[in-house]
Amino acid sequence: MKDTLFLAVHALTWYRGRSLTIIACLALTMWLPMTVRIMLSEFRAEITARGDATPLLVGSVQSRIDLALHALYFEGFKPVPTSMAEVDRIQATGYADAIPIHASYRTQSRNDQPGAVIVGTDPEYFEFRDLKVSRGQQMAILGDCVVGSSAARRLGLEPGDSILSASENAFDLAGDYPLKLNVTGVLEAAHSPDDNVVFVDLRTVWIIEGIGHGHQQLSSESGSDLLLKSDQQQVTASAAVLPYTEITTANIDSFHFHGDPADFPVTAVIAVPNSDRDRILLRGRYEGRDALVQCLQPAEVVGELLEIVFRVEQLVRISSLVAFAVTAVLLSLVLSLSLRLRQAEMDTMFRLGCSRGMIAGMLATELAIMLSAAISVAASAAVLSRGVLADALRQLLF
Amino acid sequence: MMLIIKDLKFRWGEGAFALQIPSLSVAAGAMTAITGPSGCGKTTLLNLIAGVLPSVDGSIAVDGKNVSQMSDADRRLFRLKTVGMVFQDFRLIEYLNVVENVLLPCRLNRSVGATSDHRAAADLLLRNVGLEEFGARSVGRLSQGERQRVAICRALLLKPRLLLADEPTGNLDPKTSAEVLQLLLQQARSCGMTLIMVTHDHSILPLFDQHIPFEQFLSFGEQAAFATKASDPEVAE
Repeated sequence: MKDTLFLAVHALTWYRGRSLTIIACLALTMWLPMTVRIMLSEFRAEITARGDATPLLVGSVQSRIDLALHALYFEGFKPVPTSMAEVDRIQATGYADAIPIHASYRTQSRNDQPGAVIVGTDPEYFEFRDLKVSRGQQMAILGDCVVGSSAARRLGLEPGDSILSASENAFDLAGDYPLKLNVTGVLEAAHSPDDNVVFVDLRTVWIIEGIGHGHQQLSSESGSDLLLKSDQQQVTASAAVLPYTEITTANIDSFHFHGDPADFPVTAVIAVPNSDRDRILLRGRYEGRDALVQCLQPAEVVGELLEIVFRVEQLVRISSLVAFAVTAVLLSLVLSLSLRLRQAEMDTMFRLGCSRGMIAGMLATELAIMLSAAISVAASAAVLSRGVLADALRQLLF
Repeated sequence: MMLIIKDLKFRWGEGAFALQIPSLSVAAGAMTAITGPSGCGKTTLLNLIAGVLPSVDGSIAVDGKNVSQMSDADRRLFRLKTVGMVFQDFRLIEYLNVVENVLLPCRLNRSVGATSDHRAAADLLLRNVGLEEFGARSVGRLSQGERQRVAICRALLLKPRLLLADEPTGNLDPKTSAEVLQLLLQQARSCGMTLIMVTHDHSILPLFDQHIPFEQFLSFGEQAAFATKASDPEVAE
């Protein structure tokens, strides 16, 4: 065996061009199905776990998959928002705790990296997802944020840093202003989509959205020219009034919201029922209601999504099988031509006393080494590239 | 006697060519030259003696062992331990360096195995043929004469009792040819081996103890056919 291996390794090294070409062809043929398999298996496990860990979702009537993916991954199509009234309604039933999510904005890019999604939510969300602060502390006041571990690494954020929210439309003069968010903490890695986002309090998101704001005091003491008209019904201010783009201890008291809090938007509501019975009862409530709001079980939607993914996987598998068959035919052609070229070498070995079995063993060892090398290369490449392909898959799906 | 052949008949498949040797013997330690026209079966005879080809009729006894009755595995071991072979086209393995080519027979059979003794013997053989500095060199970088010297070292490594050389100087220039021949004869004599060498060069026959003209095994018809072939300029070329 040692001598067979010795001869096989020397032959492979001598015919290195041929060996490397075969290894590269085999590796390339194996890489795609391997990567797809690893990536889909991780994706399946991740999305299933995330779906299973989220009992019920309530949101506007739209694509079930879009709503579920938005609430689980904060990515994809921006859903039509529902309102805080829905949160109150769920709480009022007593069947479940309602955790609002509002994820419509992103931070500005930083360190040449695209911005992260800003998720406005309640402190209950952190308890529900078991998210813990690893550095710094939880957000305490308006304008504070805590950053997921991956987002912090990518954007280079640490407690004490700040980042601006991105305006929806830079040319809309009446639109929202960028808000400076102060990073108070970085979360422990949760190995979930929570790692990639920036969490703020719901009211902070509403400020970004323009529902709430802070500005210079419009009292007669601060400057009469800013206050154009004031009566019992309304206050009319000059366009020269500056809205604050940063919330500080000095100006925090000036921040206020306009409108009925029940109408404030949220993109989804996670409902955590107290029991299976309560879950069924809560779902029942939405079965009979008007068609503006839906209640869905993410695990079911994830199952539907995985059906699509499974079909894609099947397609990739069939393509890979065809590619593998073509490679096998070409490989056998290359090997048979190579054997013909090495006929004299094998004949010499036979004449010197080598058995045909050992010659076959030597060739089989060469093939086994090339196959092992190709598998190793393909597996390493699959592990290295699965992240990139997983991102591509998410972009395709979300 | 090192070699005794009796009533040997060999035919390649269903072809017309048939080798028939009623009787042939070579004494132990004798330097023997075989001559004969091209295609008359000299190489086939060497292959039969070495057990590369299984004989059908008759007997071939080498060093008292009947090769024609051996199994394939026994013939392989016999070839490895009793016979050394030198070829016209050297037949070196290009992906092995000089010393590894010499050691090749040890690697081809589990029962032998390359030991430190073999490595020392390979170094000694290379020194004897003036290639001690070339051990690590690729055989592709050697001259034709140097390659044949490496092939001779390979044939001598396991100290075979019988050395079979099939036109070992056929691809060499006259000067190198003479050097290689001297080396072969000298090594065979010093090791007490029996040498059977096929050659077309009649001028070197005086250097051998025994000469076997292959024509004696051919019928008149076959001799006439070979003579006609030899006179054909295309064949001669």
